[in-house]
Amino acid sequence: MSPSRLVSLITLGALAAVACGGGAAGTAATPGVSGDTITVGVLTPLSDPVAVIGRPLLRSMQVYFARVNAAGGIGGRYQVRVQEEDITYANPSTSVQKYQKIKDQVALLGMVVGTDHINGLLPLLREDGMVATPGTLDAEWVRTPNLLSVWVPYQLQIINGVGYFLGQPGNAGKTICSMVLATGYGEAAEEGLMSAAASEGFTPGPRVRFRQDDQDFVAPITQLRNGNCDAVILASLPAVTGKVLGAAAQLGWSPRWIMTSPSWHGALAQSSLADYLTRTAWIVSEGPVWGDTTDAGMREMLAAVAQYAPDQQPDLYFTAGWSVAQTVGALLEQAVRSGDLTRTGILTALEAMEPFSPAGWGEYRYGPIGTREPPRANTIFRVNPAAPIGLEVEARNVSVPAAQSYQFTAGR
Amino acid sequence: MRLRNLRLTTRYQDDLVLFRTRLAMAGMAALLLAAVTAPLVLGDFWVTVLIYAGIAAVGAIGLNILTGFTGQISLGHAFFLGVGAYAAAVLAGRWGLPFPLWLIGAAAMGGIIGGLVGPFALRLRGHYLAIVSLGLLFLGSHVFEHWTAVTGGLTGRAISTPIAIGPVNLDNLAAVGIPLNRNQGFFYFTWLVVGVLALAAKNLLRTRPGRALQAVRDRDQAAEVIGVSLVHWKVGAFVVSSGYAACAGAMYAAFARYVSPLDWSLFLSIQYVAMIVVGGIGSVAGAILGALFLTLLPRLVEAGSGRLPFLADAGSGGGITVFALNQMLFGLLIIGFLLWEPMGLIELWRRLKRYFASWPFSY
Repeated sequence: MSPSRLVSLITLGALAAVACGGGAAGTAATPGVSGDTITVGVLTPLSDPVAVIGRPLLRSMQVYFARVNAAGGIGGRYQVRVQEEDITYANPSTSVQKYQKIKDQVALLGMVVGTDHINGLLPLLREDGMVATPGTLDAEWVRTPNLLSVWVPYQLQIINGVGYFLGQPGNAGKTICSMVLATGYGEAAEEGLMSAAASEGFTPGPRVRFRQDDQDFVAPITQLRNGNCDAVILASLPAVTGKVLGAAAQLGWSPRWIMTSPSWHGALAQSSLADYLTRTAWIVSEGPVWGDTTDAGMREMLAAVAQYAPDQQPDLYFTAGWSVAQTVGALLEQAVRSGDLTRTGILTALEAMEPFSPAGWGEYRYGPIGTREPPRANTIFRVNPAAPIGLEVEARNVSVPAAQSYQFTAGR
Repeated sequence: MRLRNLRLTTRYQDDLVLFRTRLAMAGMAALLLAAVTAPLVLGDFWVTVLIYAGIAAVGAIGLNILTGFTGQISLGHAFFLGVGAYAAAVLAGRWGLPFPLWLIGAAAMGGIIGGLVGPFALRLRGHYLAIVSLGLLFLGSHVFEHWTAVTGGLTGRAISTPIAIGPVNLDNLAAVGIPLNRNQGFFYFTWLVVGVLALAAKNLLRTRPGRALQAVRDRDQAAEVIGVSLVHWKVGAFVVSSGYAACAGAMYAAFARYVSPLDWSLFLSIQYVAMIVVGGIGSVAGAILGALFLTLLPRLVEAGSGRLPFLADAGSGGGITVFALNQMLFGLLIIGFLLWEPMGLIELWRRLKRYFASWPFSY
């Protein structure tokens, strides 16, 4: 057979294959809903260094829905199955790939960890009409379609933390600096600082960025120290926080560290930095403290942990994930009440969702995209190595005027 | 024209043919058939993985031209991918250029910047050139993070680079009666580009320019003595290589529709070096093989993780995780290939062919 004839045959075969086969991958009318089972997807790091956040977030969702299923399920009928996929935090394309893997098997994404991952998924979420819950707290998510945002945004965390610091006796006029991860998350924290500066009328000191895989922090710490920083906003991740603060401790420098919630992990309070952290660190977060049985939501969570995950150690991210699971459950309840568990139905349910407070957490006002409002008050924690997650409350319901007046703009 | 068995060549022209035997042509035909049918039988997940592999293949071919054929070490390849991505965003999104002008423009932009870097190769070689290219990468990273008007800063930016010719738009093929979704359409587009650029690279390398590049790699001073201009060919290699990388970056941006400065990291540059090492330095097919291998390997390990008893379950927190195993395999592969098969995967294939060429009398 001559080469030209062979090429012609292949071309014809190709055209025939394309014309006959393929099309979109088969999708059911209600993807992720099969009989009386709703599948909720979770894209979170489970094996890389950020797994210290991802694993407890996943576990809390599994425990929450195990409890819900035992009580009869969503709407007294639907059992919820959690389908997790491991992503690599430093490589946003992994979430795109894993999304393609599970998109036809899940009704919604109950958790996606990573600002860049959410950004990478947004075009796909819009195309497929899927709802996702970002496990990150950029203010931009509040008014972004297709996102079921939760918690107080990073920008407000920083504004509240800075406002609380400046409101302490003798702190007026002190220099506030920042040291943030060179990611969208770090940039959100910087935005918070600049917003606080504009509102409170001060000029921030040096602002430093670092990378997740940096090893030496002497230079940036020295830069901050030379800038006479009295307080430093720290937007980091647990695997890096120890190195950053260790460098500061070694240099004998003790500013007030005002940390965003993802910067913390309980193991830090049991490390050699415990004393340094006790003196210098505040963590701006929200929600009840692990083990605080005066809080009804915490009692409920602890009971579920005892029944379904008795080996679960106290963990800030488990508590956070529990609140997310409650919110996802509330959305599914709304969709079941309206009788529509299609993607469109879940989106519509999100727009019709009443203001919701996960037990022990602030109220998030959902509904039409242009009117959504997150909670605006944080809890400031200080380090106490003897406490369950190394944290005890410094101040509750901190919501400075700048946080209350912060304007959320239309999202991506 | 009869296709003779050209394994034993007697004419200079026969040495330049793409397919030496009928079996080679049949093999290529089979590959083409597999490429055509793959997106129709695989799910969206594997189609997406293969799209990323194809995009990586374009970049790997470019790096192979520079490193494998010209002997210039570069750790700045990720920078040129970023240039391509942002150039495509500006040309298509802001200036409204249609396809394929924005793709060609993005590649040209990469080539121009590569031409500015090329002169460094005239004064530096080996480790010194590698360090300079590393410096370029960090400089580029700084620019990407702070030139927010173009790149969106650390938050990144959404990219709108439609691949459309007339009424045929990859984002909506169904509108013109083509029963393919976006992933399938992009798969065909990606691997068509890979085929075209691989053929272009092959033509470049099997003709006079390719001989000049290899002369520069093997004996640059002797090459200059016999009239091969080092300025021309070293800078030219950077231009072509950077153009390929920028094309890959533009394709990545078109597919992902969102990019951030974090995408163009040192680790990405190292991955590309690993692709050409594992696939085969100095081989276009090797670059494609290396890209496929290193892109598919982590996903295959994950898919097979249930059958590996020493792997910890995702989320269990104990034992060797899939992530750790992938990292170990990555390092072991590079070390292993450099030690035992420095010519890469393609050489394994060639050994196999040579063995069966004279079978059963092979020894």
